[in-house]
Amino acid sequence: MTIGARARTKGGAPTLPLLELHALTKAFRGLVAVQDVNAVLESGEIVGLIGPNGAGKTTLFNLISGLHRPTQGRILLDGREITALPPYARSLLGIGRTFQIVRPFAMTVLENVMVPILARDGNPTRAKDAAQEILELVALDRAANERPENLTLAMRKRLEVARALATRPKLLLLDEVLAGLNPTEVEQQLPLIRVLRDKGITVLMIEHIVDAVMSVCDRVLVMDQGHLIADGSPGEVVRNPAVIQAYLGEEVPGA
Amino acid sequence: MFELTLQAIVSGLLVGGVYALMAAGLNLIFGVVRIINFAHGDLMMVAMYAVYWLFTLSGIDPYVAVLVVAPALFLLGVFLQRVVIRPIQGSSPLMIIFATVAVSLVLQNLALMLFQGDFRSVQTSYSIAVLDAGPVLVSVPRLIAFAASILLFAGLFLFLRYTYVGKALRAVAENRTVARLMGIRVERIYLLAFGLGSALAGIAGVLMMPFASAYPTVGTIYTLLAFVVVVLGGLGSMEGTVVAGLAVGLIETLTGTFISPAVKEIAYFGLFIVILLIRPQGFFGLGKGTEEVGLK
Amino acid sequence: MKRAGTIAGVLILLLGALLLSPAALAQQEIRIGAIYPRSGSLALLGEESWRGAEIARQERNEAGGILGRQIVFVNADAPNVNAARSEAERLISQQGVQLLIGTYSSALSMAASEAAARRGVTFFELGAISDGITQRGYKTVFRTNPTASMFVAAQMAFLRDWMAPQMGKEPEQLRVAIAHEDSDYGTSVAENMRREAERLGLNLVSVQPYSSTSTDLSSVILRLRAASPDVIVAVSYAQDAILLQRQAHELGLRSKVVGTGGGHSLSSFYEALGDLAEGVFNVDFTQYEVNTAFTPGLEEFRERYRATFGEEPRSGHSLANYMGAHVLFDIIERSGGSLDPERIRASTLSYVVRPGQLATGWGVRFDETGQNVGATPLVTQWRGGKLVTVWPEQAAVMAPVLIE
Repeated sequence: MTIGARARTKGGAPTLPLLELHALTKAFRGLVAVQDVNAVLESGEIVGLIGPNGAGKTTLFNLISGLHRPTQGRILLDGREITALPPYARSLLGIGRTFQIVRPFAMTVLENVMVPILARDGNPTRAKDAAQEILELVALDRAANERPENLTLAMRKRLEVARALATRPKLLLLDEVLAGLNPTEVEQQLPLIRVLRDKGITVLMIEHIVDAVMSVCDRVLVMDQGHLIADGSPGEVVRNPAVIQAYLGEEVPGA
Repeated sequence: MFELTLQAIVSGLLVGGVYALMAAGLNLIFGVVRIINFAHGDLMMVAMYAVYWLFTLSGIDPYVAVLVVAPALFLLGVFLQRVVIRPIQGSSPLMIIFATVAVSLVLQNLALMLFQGDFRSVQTSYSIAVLDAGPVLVSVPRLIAFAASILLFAGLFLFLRYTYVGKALRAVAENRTVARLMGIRVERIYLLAFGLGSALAGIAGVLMMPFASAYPTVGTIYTLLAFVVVVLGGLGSMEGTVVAGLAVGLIETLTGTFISPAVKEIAYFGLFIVILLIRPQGFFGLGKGTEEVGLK
Repeated sequence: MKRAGTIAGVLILLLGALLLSPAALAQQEIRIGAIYPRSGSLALLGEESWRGAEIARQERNEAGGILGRQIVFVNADAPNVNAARSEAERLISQQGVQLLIGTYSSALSMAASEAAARRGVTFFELGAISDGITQRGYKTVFRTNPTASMFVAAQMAFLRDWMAPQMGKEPEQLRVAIAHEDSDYGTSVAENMRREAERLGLNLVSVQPYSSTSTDLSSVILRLRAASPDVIVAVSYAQDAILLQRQAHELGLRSKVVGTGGGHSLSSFYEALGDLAEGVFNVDFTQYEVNTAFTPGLEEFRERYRATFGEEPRSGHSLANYMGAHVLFDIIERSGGSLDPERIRASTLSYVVRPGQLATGWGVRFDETGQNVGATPLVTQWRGGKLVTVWPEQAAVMAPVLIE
């Protein structure tokens, strides 16, 4: 298996966007968590998703990965409607995700990565090889036979990414893979994200560490109280008055 | 005194092995599907009747009958999950408890209607065979049941550990959300878990039939026992189930022998309550999901 | 004119109501409430008991009923104590039933008969054995079958008069152990046994209570084994009787066993145990392998049972209820078909039959408490798959033997 092999290459003939969100709304018993969000992700982009706590970022991830059904609106992957598909089907179509709180299974690191591969192809030998390859990519190959609880937080975050990669995603949703890491670890983690893009994987990442977002993202989406309030290059977004307003009262981003 | 103690320990382990096997199915269903199946013992009852009729009508040996009974119970389990549990999955724990209790009542009354309340037993050449092993006597069919239980547990461990399906079962047991996102078809895993759990109850019924009787309410006490074992060993923990099953058998026989048979049930139910109070996750418990079934 | 029309209308309505009322129907039929556990865990012998009464009813109806009136059972299922109480109340208040029978189980009988007695309605117990049922001072509660203490008396007399001499021992040398299930039933019977054994000077070496729902009785057996008794007297239900016998074998306990009715008399006891059941004694209601000269009518009952239900009777419970129902029908006949409690009581207390004249062989003589003190349990033994009456001699078809 080659990671990201199914992802489309950039710069070919004009193609459909990878992911389209049309007027996406999600309400929980009257509380609107995501309201009328329209956005488009092109293939090969690294897009940051930022916003204050409770802005609706994780809900948006849940909508895209299929854990929640939208109240209104549509989701298209490669131009194909996936709004009603269950999570496993979206996973098979190429949407992978990580969780903010790492949730490895109580198996070895290698087995954790093998599970999603086996869900597609039951051959254990091939699955093991493919899992090894992914572990090398995220620099966890030497910990393959460790139990996840023995890993450092940074390593467990990488395991989370590895496991998402094992679903062979075109689109990878990263939920705060840098949170809780010290600055050195963050520095070590960032190149991994660029490697993913080089593999042709489109990345949408929720991140609070704004410096990191600025350095790695091509584009940034900003959410506040369920609304998408800004969409632009990192430089544009930080100067956007609505964004500054949204963060007022919050601690200084990136501190 | 030494012989008495040794005999009590052997008898306790023999009966504990069957308890553990009953509990294994209950725990598998709990761990993966996150429901407490109050009809678990009644599935065993169904299997016992199946063994009885296969033996009585076709002369099929109980241990051979497992080839028919285990797959049949697997299908019955799949059917229950698909038809009874799935439509209400995700609703309140109480609702699911009601549903499985209803299944239990239906099965019991169906048995009563079809077979009356009679006690049905099979008599085989080995039913009353006893091994004289020096200081202790060992009933042959009980020994077979014990050995088969231990082998099944070994098989279950290997299956859960080394096969993809086993890994998928564990993955769903641990975190169905993540498992879904990994591309695992969780609904199918639920069917599989319920089927396997039911088949285990069925095998327990098969193994017991040479030395126990089938009657409509035989399952009730086993549901209760299996539940005690599962809570003691830890919801979701197979290792815990083996240890707790054997422990309950030992506690029952030892307190019964050295204190009084009248207190043997009190002994393990007492332990059950103490464990619930001080260590609700059991000896080995993962502690996950207990809130979903209303235990926390 | 208008007023006369109204009066006529009211009269017609009243007449109609009278014609349709249960009281009017009862002029044609004698309605008896039959309360038995016919579902749930007591269903096996509850149903068996009901069948006996039902056969008596059919038989009596075919012979012309009671003074030309047909007998009708208003059947009620009482799987537990609450149901027994509420069904008794329902039959009395909603169905207008004036006489109730039942119930097989002592706990159910206590509840149902109390509900009946409080409303002054007559209750005939035909099969439950707890002494307490006829010891509460109720004037309208009667019982045709022997009580638990009558069982115990027969059992202990058998140990003293037959078993001890047979083993070449004096009664005070005979080592007796008791194993009993620990509900009210087993506990009170065991307490009676202890007293009766002491009274007769037997050597009581061990008493082991256990729960009848136990899945394993090895600890009971191990404790009994440690006391090395000559004979174990057991008070058991169905499942635990089988389990005791099987585990005694598995754990090398070879004492003689005498059951106390219940589980030891069921055909399933033999079916489950086969050779292990051979030689086990039991004290019970009259069973089918009995000297029929002592039990006239038993063969006819058995044939009728087969014809009606397509199988052999499963225990003597049906026979006891059959006999009791016939006694009750006779009593109603002696009251001129009236179900008035006063008249029923008078006919009951004056009704006497000598032993050896009814299908159970039991005599009939009611004491002031409403208990039939003429009924005597018999000792039976499993011999070649049949429960054979072996003691006392006039009822026996075989002599009892000690089987090693």
